[in-house]
Amino acid sequence: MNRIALFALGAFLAAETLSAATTSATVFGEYDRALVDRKIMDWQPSARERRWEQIGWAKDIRDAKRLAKASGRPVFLFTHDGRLNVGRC
Amino acid sequence: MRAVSLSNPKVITALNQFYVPVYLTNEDYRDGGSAPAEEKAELLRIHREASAKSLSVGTVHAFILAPDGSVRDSMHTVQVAKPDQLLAMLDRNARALNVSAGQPIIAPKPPAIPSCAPGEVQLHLTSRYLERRAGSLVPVVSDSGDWSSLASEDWITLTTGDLNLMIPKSGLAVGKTWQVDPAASARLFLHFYPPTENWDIEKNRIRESELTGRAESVERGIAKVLFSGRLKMDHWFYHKPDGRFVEADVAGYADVDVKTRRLIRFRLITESADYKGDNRSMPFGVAIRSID
Repeated sequence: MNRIALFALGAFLAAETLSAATTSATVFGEYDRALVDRKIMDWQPSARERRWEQIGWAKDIRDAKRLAKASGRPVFLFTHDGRLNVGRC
Repeated sequence: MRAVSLSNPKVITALNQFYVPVYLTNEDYRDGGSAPAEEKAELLRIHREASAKSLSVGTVHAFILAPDGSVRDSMHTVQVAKPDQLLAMLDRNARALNVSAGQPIIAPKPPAIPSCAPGEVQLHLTSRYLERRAGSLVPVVSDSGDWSSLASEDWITLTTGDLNLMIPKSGLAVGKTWQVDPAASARLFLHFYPPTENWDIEKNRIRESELTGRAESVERGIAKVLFSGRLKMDHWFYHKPDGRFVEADVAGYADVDVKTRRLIRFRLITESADYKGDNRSMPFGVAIRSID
């Protein structure tokens, strides 16, 4: 149901039961909330899209160098524009 | 990069087992950026050493440093974004350095939720392209590595000043309807754009917008509020003008403490949203939720 239909339903309920406006409005509001909640849930980043979080990242270059020296491992450094952590890059 | 190579299970395993992975944002390392001077100096040192060794150098780039910090290898992002090419670089350097496979040096964990001060509200926003399937608009699922395969997120902190502009001071009786101050709605709307190479909200221009609130009920001192609105905003795909813009209808709800006007719960979505320009119209969705 789109917003126009929802507001039409709200207006109808308000007109029909003016004396019980709170009850009618609550029913209208609860329905609308379910729709919003479902879309929010559907659009969250999926586990597949969060795979990169399975990588254990160092805090910065100096932290990575310190850990590399201590562990004998090389550093993989990726430099980029934007914000990789939020996908705005 | 994030949607392709850094999501490739073989790359993830190689980085965790043989490397100390780190990424950085160039903006933080430029003049005026937030990175400490020692960090900026270290990145400059890496660039100069790579150049001296005739390795490729660039701002969007991958570098391999030996355990002693010396630069061993590098690769442009175009190659890095191809998992096979990145894996080949990771493999040849791990072999050359005779690195044994082990557990991740740093325990993997999701990025932390930004903190906010008492009285402020932290919001999480997701933006993503949608496609029509079986009559419904659903998230695009793609291995293409282009922008359609990436969900973007933002964290928005609503200050007490923002909240004062969102919720009317004159009370929240049932049926109360109000226009949210444009300064407050802009704090949200400037983030209503799909994943693009341009992520700088300073470059967005709101042309038309409105956000209306309506108190639907009040029970036990909590007002249930519905929001609806619309937006038209210029948003360039790259970092230069291209005539592209966003058109969206939005809807949502909130729970508000009537006495304190505190926002207890907030949700806002695009009912419909299109990114337009160049004779194209690409549907996308934005979802905002408060961290309750």
